[in-house]
Amino acid sequence: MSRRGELLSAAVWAALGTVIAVASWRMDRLDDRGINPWSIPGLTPGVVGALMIVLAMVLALQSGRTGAPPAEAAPTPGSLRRTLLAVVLCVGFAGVALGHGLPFVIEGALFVFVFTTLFSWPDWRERGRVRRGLVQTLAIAVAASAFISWLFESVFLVRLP
Amino acid sequence: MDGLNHLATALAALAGPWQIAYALGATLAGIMIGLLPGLSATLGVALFTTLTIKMAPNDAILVLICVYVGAIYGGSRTAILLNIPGTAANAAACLDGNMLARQGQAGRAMGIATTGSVAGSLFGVICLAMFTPLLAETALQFGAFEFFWLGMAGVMMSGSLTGSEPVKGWLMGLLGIFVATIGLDPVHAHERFTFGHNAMSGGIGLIPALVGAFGFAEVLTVMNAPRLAPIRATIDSVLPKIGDVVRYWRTILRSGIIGVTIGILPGVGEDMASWSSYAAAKRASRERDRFGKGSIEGLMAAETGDNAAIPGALIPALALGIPGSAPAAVLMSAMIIHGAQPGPMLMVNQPQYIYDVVGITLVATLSILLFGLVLVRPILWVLRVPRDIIMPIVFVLCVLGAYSITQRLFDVWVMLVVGIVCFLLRRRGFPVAPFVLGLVLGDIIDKSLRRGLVLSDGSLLPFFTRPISAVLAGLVLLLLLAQVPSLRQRFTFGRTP
Repeated sequence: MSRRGELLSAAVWAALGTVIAVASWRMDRLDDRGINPWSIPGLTPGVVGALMIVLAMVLALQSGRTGAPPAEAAPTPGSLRRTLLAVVLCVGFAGVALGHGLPFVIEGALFVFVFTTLFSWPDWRERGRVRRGLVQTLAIAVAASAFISWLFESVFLVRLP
Repeated sequence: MDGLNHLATALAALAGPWQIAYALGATLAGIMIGLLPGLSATLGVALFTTLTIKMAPNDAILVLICVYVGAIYGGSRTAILLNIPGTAANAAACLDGNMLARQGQAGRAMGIATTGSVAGSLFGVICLAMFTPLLAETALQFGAFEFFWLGMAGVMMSGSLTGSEPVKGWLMGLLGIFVATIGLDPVHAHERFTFGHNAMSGGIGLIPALVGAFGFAEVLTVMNAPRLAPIRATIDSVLPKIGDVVRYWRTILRSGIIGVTIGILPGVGEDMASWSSYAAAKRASRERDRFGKGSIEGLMAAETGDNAAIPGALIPALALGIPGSAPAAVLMSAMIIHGAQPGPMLMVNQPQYIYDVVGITLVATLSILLFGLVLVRPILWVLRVPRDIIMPIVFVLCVLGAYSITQRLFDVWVMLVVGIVCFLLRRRGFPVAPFVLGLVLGDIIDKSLRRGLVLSDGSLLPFFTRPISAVLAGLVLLLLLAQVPSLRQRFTFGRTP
């Protein structure tokens, strides 16, 4: 990660620490209940926020002094695209679609099928296995979703969303 | 004598047909999780925590410990065959394991990995049985001051040793402590950081957060990485040679001691145990020039160290309520969900429980020995299943895992948000393990700090003058001083290779 990236990280941590510290300071001290002042609810988060600010400053200083240490490799356009696609599919399934209409078993099967198809498509096309891949994926998606739904609903007695 | 009676009772309870089936099934599942690069032992334990929620408490813990032990062991297969550690704990095994595989000795390398794992785990089990009751007895003298420092030392140590930069690890630990404070304050039942949302009053659920941090974040990490070539390996005999065990008994013993010791250190974990054992074996070896080129001793040391750290990590979890590693943190949460109260009072209220865990860890060790000897080739098929199929299924399990504890969609959102945040932070070099430790220990740190200050009427002195507190405070101070550049250069603080 670049030095600028490190400084940006430090700034975000400092901002978070400040928000936590200020919110803790302004938190109700329960004077009306006559509690011991050393047991106020905002004490620990306040200390955590203050320490975050100090460490964020150390992080900023370190990045300036020693240069940025190597983090994970910079994302290639391909990896960024794959990640974004995975995030959209996962959030779309779990955050948006789930619990808003279709039964879980169908939504789960659809998610596994769409996810696998989108990510495997280039490989299938390259190897001329599109039809076979689609049929196999559909079978796996239906079987996996049916098994997982049965497991949670019938064995663990969870009312599925 | 009481201990032996408790252990005999525990082993007798584990001899039932269902318990044997659970142990074998869970170990196999753990090995498969460990085999797949990207799926960690922590994820395995977190997912199985949700799957075992309705089981009898001891059966659930049996399944979880078998998954834990199986995953750490299974990761060595991928390290040997693909030169990619199945879990972080197996990274050291890549060095010599893969070199042996390239020399046509993949089977022998797996046999060595099995021997080392079983030996390390057995050594750890003995230490678990011996030291947990002793530590729990000592911990009965601990008060709020000691527990505050113990919690802080856990988070600091985890931050210092699990990432490339301690400051980033500490920040993640603090983030975990902060997240743990969201919801009703445990002392006065006052709402903190809930922004008026009822769903937030109960706090951020540990299991949804862990499934997000280690499940969803890992799904994204795996999908972010380039595709792996499918494995095509020829494997010679996997039976371990008795001669290798006899010849390297010193290495096994040394690595076992290092593994257990590092396992006991709060939040440090199996990967550090593996590297430290490897480094110590290299320093002491007469054939150190062979290390990194296919050394049997190196592989044995790495695999003994990481597996010995598993029972080691359970010692502070049971005796102090402070987990020794990230998977142990999840396991400890599962124990709490199933009615146990890990900590100093465990030995007083449920003395049998500690020996149940000892018995379970022993059964898990025997299970990996069985699978290591007879099921090496068949279970390698799992490496041929494309990630594009496995990952969405893992995600569906993550969703239901997060949902099933309290059956609220809010927990699914917690899993999603924590997963995305942890993925982004990990890409910027911030380790996730200290966050988990902070999340688990946040409650104990919060309560102990405030109770301590109330007891001392606001004075900080008892935090530094009580003997055990002084030692723990010194340790935290040492971890901080180790980051001062001039001191760092003078003394060789830092990571092992």
